Amino acid sequence: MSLQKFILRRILASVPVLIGVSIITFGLMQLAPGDVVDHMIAANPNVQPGEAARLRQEYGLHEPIWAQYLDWMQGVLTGDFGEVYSSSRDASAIVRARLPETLLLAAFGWVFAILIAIPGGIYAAINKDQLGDDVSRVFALSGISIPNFWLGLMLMALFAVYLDWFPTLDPQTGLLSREMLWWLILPGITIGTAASANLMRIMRTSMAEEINKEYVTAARAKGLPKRTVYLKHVLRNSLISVTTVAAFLTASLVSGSVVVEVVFGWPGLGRELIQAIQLREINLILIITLLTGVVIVLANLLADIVYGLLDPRIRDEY
Amino acid sequence: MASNNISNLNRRRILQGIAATGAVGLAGCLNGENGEADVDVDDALERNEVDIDAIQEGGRLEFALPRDSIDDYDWADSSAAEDSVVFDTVYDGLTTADSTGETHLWMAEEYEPAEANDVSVEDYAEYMVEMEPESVEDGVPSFDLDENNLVIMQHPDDEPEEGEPMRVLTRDEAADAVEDGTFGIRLEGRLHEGIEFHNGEEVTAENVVRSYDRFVGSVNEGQWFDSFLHATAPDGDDGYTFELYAQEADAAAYLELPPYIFPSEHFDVPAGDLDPRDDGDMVPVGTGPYEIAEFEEGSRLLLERTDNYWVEEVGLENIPWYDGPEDFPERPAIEEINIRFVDDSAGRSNALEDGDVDIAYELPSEARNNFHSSESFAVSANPAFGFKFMQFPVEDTDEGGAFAQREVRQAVSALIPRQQIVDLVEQGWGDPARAPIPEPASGMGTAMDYEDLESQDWAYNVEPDPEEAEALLEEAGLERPVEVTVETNSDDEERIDKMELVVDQLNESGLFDAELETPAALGDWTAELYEDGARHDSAERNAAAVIGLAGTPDPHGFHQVLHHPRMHNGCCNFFFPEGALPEEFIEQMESCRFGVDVAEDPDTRRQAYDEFWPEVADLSANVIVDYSLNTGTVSNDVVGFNVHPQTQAILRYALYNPADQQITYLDR
Repeated sequence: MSLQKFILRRILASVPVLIGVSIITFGLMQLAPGDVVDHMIAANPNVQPGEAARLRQEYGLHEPIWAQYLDWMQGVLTGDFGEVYSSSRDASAIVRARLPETLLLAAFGWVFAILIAIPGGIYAAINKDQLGDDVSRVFALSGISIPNFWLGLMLMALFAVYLDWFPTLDPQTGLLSREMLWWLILPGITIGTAASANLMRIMRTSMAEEINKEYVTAARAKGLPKRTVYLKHVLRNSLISVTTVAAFLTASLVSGSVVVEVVFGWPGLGRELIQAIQLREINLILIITLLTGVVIVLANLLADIVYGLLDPRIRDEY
Repeated sequence: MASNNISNLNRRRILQGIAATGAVGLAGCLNGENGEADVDVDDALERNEVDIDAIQEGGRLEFALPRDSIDDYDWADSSAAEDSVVFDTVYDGLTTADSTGETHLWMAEEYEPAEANDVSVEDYAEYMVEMEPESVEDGVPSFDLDENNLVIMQHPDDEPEEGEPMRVLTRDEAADAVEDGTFGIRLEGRLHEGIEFHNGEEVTAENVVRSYDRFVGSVNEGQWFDSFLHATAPDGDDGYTFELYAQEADAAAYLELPPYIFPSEHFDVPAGDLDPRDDGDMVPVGTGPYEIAEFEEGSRLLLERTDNYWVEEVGLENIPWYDGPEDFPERPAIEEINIRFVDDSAGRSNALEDGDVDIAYELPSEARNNFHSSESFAVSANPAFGFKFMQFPVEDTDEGGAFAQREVRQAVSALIPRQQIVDLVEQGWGDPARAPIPEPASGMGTAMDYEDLESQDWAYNVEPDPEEAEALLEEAGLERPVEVTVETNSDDEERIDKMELVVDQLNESGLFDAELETPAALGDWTAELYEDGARHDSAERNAAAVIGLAGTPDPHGFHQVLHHPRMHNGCCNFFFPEGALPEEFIEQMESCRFGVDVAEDPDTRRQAYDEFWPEVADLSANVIVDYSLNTGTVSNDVVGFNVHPQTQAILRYALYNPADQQITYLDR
């Protein structure tokens, strides 16, 4: 099968997955107490209880649940992702406005994770059972164990408040400005730390296994320098496992961005999602959830493509 | 027991400081040598006066808003309190309030009640038309009406039924009724001449009259048209005289009827559409001292001082009540306000300490105390309209049902350690409730001095009175200890701490076996309380609900929303549908607001409330726990900052209010 056909088949296969995600999300939100009108009334005495029926009718919330879902799905097929009731705005407009920030944060976290994990894992594998390996193990365990919200708060308290090396708030200078990218460092490190710890362990384990294989012994016996053996041969074979985990980590980076955005006040989709859940803004919840699903599907697709680049045998199986 | 309570609270505070925020620990670095915060609230309550000659013009104020973005730029449709903090600077009103809650004329040169009539819904019957509802959901009919029209009232004898016409009064018929003299109260007013919107359009009576159109179809429609009947411009649209009519003789209409005033270009913008994020032309335009200069989704909102502020045009000397210095400025001093969206309280503390913001409010208590003790910052405080209250389920159930007896409710109230709550949990930043209304709302709510109101026999006790509680339970004849539950939301640590003190006190008395439950975060928990059967369940479990609310300058805002059956399953009446409370109590409550005598004569109204407050205390369906102090924390760059009783006015009031010669400027 050609690569194009493979990609098309994977994309088509993801459609029922995304529909399933939307049904589950929609259903779960129906189980939560109250709806958006209840929360409007609860939060604001100006919205009187007698208005509840009128508002529900206006928002279509008086319809049966299945009818509401079909109505939403119909809108999605025409590009209308519904309204955020509390602000009378299109859900898609909010997502369009906030998506770049979230993607930038996730991308930074991903790059940080790779830049730490790959060299760190290689070093640990080469220095297996020595001090370097022990240090990496401690770092990995810490990175996995420390809650990212606590890490973020501590980084902010130390580097932003106490040392004043970083701003505590959005510098308001444009997404790709130098000031904004500087502000991005702390949340990016926060979101990337757990991912880098995970990846580092996988890199280390995978590479250590490869180093013990016979072809490595043969290559060394042939007189190839260690550096060439490890970086040209061993590393490439080790990366397949790492690629798999890296794809999965995309999901954790996207979901982790929710907490990190709240801690740092990063103006991304994560904060919007938190508020949408609190207010039961079902349309916004659905579009963000769907978007997350699409990102994960694409990440896995990319991983499969990278497999083919790393291992020609896999490429032949497309 | 008291010392155990103190040590428990301190451990909780320490854990909070370590786990929740670095700012708590680091903020301690702001303090003196021993790192402890000495809290003296009295100096925060003192006004920060300004030397007019020292005022510096210009500068950019960084203001931290406890939200992650503006919810709705369309003030007609917004239901978020924080949006009001910002838009209070963009839109001026017919009246303004000073720091004691007293109302003064503002854009209105004249404005007063002119005529009141005792009318009821039946009096409007001859003007009603028959209309068939398009649909009926939960007993509420909806009608297909022209734009800007809606049903104001329906005939009480007609039950809504799909396919069956019913008698209703819409805005069209309301005009006929008013013309024939059928109305509750008429308020006459006259605008100052020469007031301009930011776009240069002059404000006329038409702007006042047509602004009501914007609330049709909005989330706030019910609030506005609950009382509003009609508005007219007797001298024509280009004139300055306006008349506002309420459906009933409503004493609260004076404050509650005037609309947010919109320019003509926005009259026909549907509610919710006035949002520049979706349409760059839809920028809110008002008459306030600031206008929206720049904005961006969720991260940026810059307000600039307008260059045609109406007070400069009209002149302070032409504002009848103004008796301050002649050289008091006629506009705010600060040139720009940069709104910084910082949802997290720890984040606001960090930003203030770091110098990224100049003003922050709703800070964690510990951080606020430390800022207050620091020489680099200042905290301003003012008695506020906000309050915490305990509401009892009064349904008499087979199981539980203890709170069906008022003696039991009174006994619980007698044991609430109100002073201790303020001292230990709020660390002085609050007031124990003695009277059913806070001091800022007492102007219209009592004929007595507030201190006299607080010292009445029926007033709430601030120290627990176990003897009284025991006597009350004796009267109730219930087996002791009475098992009760105190419920509150899980996402407010301070509130939970307060209720822990209450529960401890109830248990210590030996009269109750009390426990504290925190079922869910505020929104989820209240949604659960609105569900069918929740009221009955709470009564069976003897579960009282404790919640907070921001009151209003009008006294009715403190008890109507808590007691009136019309507010049942709304904020914040969870337990009292029709018939749950004595009808005479409801009637007495209504008579303090509705009726020709109270609408025409404020003194009569005050006396009516003075007769009503003992009934509130006696019934004890709701008991007030404490009243809030509004606080704002500023850096030393900010001079003259003072806080208003209404949180929504915290920014607007501080920037400029001649009623108190209030003005803030930046010294940097």
